[in-house]
Amino acid sequence: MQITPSTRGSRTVLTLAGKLDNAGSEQLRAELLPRLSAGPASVALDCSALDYVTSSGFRVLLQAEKEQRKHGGRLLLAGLTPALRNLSQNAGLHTGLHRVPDLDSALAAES
Amino acid sequence: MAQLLALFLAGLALFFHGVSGIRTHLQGLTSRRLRRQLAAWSRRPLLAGTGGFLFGAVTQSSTAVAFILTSLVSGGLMSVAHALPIVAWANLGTVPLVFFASLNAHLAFLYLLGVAGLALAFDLGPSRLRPALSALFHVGLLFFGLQLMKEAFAPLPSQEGFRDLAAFIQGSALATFVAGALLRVLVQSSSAIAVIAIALAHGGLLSLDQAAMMMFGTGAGVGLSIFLLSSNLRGVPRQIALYQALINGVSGLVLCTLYYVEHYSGAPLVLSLSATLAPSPDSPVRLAYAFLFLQSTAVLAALVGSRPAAVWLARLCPPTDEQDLSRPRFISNEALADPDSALELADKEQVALLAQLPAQLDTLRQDAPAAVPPAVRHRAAQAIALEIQGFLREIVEQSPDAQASARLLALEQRHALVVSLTDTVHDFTAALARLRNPGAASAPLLESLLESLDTLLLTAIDAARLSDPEDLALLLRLTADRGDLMERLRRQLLASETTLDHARKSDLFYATSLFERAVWLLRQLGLAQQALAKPAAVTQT
Repeated sequence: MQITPSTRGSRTVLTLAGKLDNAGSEQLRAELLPRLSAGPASVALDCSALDYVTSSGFRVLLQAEKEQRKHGGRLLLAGLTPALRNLSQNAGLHTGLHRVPDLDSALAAES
Repeated sequence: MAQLLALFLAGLALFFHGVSGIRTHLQGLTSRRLRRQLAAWSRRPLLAGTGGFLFGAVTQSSTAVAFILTSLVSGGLMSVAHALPIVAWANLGTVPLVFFASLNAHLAFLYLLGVAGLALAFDLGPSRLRPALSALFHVGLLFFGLQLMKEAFAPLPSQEGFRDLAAFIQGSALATFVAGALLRVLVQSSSAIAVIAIALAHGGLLSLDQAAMMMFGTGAGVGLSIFLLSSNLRGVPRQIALYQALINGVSGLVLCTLYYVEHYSGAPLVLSLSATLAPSPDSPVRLAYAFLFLQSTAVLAALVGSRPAAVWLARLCPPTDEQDLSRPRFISNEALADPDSALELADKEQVALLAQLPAQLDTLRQDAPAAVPPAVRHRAAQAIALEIQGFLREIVEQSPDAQASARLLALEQRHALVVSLTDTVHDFTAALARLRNPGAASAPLLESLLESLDTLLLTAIDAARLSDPEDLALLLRLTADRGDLMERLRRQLLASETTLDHARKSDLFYATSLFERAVWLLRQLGLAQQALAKPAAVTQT
């Protein structure tokens, strides 16, 4: 899996591409968790090029969301493909994640 | 001859059935007190030695003792290290019969078989005793099988072929050694062959040297016999069986070697010592001493070489995946002395059992082929669940104080949920394995069920470890009522595959029902976790 960091305003945006499986989850955890303590709205994930998410991937996302909540914010999960949206919806995991359809508009709304 | 063969086959079948039945029914015994007593008995060298000797004396077959102990080890009642000395001393226990040649355990085992069998058939006695009764019935069956085998070959000395064989081997000590080994494979009792050898020597069919060598041959025969009878054993129980084969094989070969050294060098060794102890050449006791030396050498070999042998056997027959996975990691009898520590360990063991569940689902992943089949994992999980249940019951007997009692109640409640969840996850895995068809339209939905359940399990494990209270809140949020979602999923599943036959539709419904049940159980687990975090609150409500 590819993870490309960039900065948009106060947020670090991690663009994810490929499959978020066991190996990808470890990679994402290492990139993501240290950045969450930076503030209440520190990280957003651009998932538009993400193909699939396994349980270990969902777990990292849920843990990251949990950490972000502790700092008073929410982890933005943007651009999920229809297939991934369905997957998280069917899995009933959408209630634990803050999904937004479009990153630009979500960031614009924040500012 | 055909009748003898039929008797032998029937005896062999009953023997195998008895061994397998003892193992099955002892696994079903939940009395951890009995297990603790057995374990304590085996941990004291003197008691273990005495017990092994008595066990050998009563059963008159160290092979049978070894197989019964393999059953106890398989059932988790005893460790290999504690079973080995009992096996070794059982060999010596077969010696008194040869000296007195009068003990008839056959009758006792027939009574055992009859009483236990009738009690089972007519459902007599309390139901909690049924596993013990079944185990006793199979002990009786095992010995009945051995007896049939003995009876099958009892008429051998009067058979023409056997007399021809006796004439053929006349004068050859090595031939009687081989004959002793082969007979031991067939008869399954070294002491019985020793008694026959003494009778043959007394009748003039064999010389004293030949009779002694026939007895020494039984040592090698035990080895051969166990290789044949332990073919259905794997892992730890096979270690015990091979250990018995090894010490007997070594003792037989050592005494055979000593015989030839004495014979050709004239050095006073085993036979001279027997002659010194029993000066009369006609005395059958002289041969009984030879048998005593054989069995003593087996015990000596066990005492000298048990440590390296245990290492070698562990390498040769490593525990199977199921035996490895069936071993509790935290609970132990010693911890019961302090109820608080025992509760802490039971908690950890439950969490460890819960943490095994995602591995069941991993067996469905195509990119990670299962190293351990789901059925094996499930049996191992059931074995550990049984151990935890017994352990919790024993904590009750320690009269815990109010706080410990509240925690115990919460752990018992959680245990029931973990057990149900274990079964549900196993059934769900099996259902999904049957339904999986990567090309099918329902595949993405089934994938989402799999990933969802796995994620929820991982979250529940985090919550059970109590490292972060937020994990519990997350679990409860994710497992909130899914009735509408599940109904929508079912409709989607059926709509996605319009050409499905009824059986597959039914399977799909079953899988979604199991998923729903697992989610419900996970929610209950979360609620039980709350009670566990605040045991005082439970006592107040």
